[in-house]
Amino acid sequence: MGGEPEPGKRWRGRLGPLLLALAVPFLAGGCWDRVEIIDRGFIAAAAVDAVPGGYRLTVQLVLPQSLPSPGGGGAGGGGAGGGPSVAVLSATGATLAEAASRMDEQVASRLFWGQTRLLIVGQALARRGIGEVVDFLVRNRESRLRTDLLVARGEAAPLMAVAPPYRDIPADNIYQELRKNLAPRLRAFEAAIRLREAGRGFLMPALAVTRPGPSPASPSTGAERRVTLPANPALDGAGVFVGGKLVGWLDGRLTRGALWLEGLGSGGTITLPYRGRPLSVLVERAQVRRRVLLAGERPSVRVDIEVDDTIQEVHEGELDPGRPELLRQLGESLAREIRGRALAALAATRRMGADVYDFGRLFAGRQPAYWRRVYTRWPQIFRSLPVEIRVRAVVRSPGRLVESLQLPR
Amino acid sequence: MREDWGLSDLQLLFLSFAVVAPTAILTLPRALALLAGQDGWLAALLALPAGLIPLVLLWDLDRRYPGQTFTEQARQALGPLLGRVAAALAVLLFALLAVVVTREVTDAVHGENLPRTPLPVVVLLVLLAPVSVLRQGIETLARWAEILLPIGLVLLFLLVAGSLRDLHPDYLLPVLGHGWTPIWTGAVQPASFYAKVFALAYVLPFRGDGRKGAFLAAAAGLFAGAVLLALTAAVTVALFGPLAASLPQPVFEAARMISVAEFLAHLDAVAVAAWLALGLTKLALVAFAFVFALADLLQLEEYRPLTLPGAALTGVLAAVEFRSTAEFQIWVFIFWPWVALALCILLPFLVWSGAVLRGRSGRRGRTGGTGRGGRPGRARTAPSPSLPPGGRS
Repeated sequence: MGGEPEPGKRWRGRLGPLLLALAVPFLAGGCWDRVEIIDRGFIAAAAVDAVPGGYRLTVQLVLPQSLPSPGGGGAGGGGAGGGPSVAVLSATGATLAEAASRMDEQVASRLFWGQTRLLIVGQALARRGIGEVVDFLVRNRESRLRTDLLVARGEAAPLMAVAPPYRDIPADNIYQELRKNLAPRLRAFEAAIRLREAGRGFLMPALAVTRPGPSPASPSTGAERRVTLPANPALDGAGVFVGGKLVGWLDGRLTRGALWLEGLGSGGTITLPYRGRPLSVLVERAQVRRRVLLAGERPSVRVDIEVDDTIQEVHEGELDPGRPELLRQLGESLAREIRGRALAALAATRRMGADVYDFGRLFAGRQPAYWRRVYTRWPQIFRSLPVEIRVRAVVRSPGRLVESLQLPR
Repeated sequence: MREDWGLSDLQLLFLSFAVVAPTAILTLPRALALLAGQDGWLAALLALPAGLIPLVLLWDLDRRYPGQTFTEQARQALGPLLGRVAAALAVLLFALLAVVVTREVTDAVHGENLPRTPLPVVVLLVLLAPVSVLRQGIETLARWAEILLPIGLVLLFLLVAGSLRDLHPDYLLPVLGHGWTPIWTGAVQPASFYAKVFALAYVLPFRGDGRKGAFLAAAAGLFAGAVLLALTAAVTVALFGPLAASLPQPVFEAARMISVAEFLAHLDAVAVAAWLALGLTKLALVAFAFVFALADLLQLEEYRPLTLPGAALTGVLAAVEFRSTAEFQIWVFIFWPWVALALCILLPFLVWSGAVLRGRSGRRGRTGGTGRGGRPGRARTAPSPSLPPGGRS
């Protein structure tokens, strides 16, 4: 206050705060915790197997220098045709953290779990229980709670070494497959939630390697170069877990049936027999509503499934999808097909005593008094729980083509 | 000239909001999930009276002794000796509060972001901004709240919006599934945080507008904080279900999990920014109450000479007193809420009872005397220890 200071003084008075402000970015980095990005070893995916006395951890480590540079062109584009973009590392330890630490000793960079998208659990370990794996993943502050968990049909480690050419990082291929929502997904935090509730059932997408082989070459032109189809780890149904332990498997068809009941409208194509010939429809939209009912001490569940579809492929010559009543009939047989699949999945999981549909949680939320009385016996109750499934399927559109191409006249 | 530096109602609202908001992001959602399960949001709202009680008492005290700080009111209502004891207890309360808040901010930054950085260094960095603000004066503090809190709030709502897709409202059921007992147990935690609006006892005398507006603004800030807490409690449970009680900082984890179209992800830095904006404001406010109450108790002309020693004491205690985060969490969940709740309600209640017994009504004007004493609210002289319009050029 008190009049303007002379210019030089004013400048000097403001130099301090200015320098302080400039110092902030240097402090903000936190010198102790700084890790240069080139020193980080990004783990794209990890596989865990049980070995005597501990675990074997196998990872795909991204080699950034071999990734094709984005935007192509320039000097950096060389990697695409060259060697693989990942290195596969493996280490064992009494705990997963110990195995990870031993692996850290093998490479120059510091292994970083913050970009790990997949963690694959070997079958043997899954049968023993996935509690330790989930603990490691969730407790470790670096890792993402969204990391997808998968279970291998067999050992998990070999899946890390298979590199189909579809993506630069092999694990990405599996991840993109998961994103299509044709399989159940189980993220690390979801697994942790399910482990927190004793005896709860859940599904984990299963992974198996499709065999490599030569493509069927056309016999007429022998000179043609034969392409070898690559081995590819692909989704193959789901593992059924109760209380964190693998108790059985569902194949792809049953898995999708289970997804209907879980309230996750499954997408994709459904092929149903129509007058003895196949006909495919595409599920455009699905809505699943689930209700729990309690009559006295007799619980039951009602699942309402509503599906909108488009016809994808017609083989039957006499079918004229332009006629509304035909579409209605088609909708009815589609509803029967979906219902049948859901019932088959229900029967399979009942045999395992695995309520993978969270029906128990529905009761816990809506009938808390009943749930408190029965929750310890829930697996037994689930085995004989009446589930009413009602499906309403509407075929909205015949697709681009209205009538069959070969209508008999 | 002096008209300028009374705090506006909006600034008071933000300061009052700052008492609850940071904890709504950091520790309370977990405490609520732990004690009240899926009904934590309900406990957050039911605890609201705990914050309104001190505000109402302060309101009535302000009517009886307009424009005075709590220390002066205590001395007049309870007599020199008892009054000083009450004021000293207030100093102790705010000193402890400053230590707790410092440690909370530190643990969040240290644990989540800078685990390898030595704790004392983080404490130092955390205290740097609030101390420099305090040395500028209450007006700078109010303006900083006015600027930082909206930013923090916007970031926070972005985070909530980002996790909407993953919410399972089913986890919030059943409402009242275990009756009222867990809710009342859980409500103690937010109650003790709401009660800390008592810290405003040293800020409200600097109000620039009428008494009614100022106290209504403080109540509104408190209410907004409670709503925010109910929201974060509900969101974390809807997201993490039974796991919410096991994550030390569920809101950070929620932020970390956000993935909008695979593009917007790894937003923990945003959460830290939101948290720091709110947390540092609270720290500055509490530290202000601490040093100002101390200066007032010692009848100093100026509180500023106490800022650095006060901050040093706070920093050392925050760094040394608790050996681990776990130790601190036990202390802050089990012991501290009751102490804070009791002191924040009892102290104003005692002083208010004294005032009522003395039959002191609001009409009699100034008490005169020392020159440190009360002046009618709109007299615009600073309540002692006087605050020149700091930081303004």
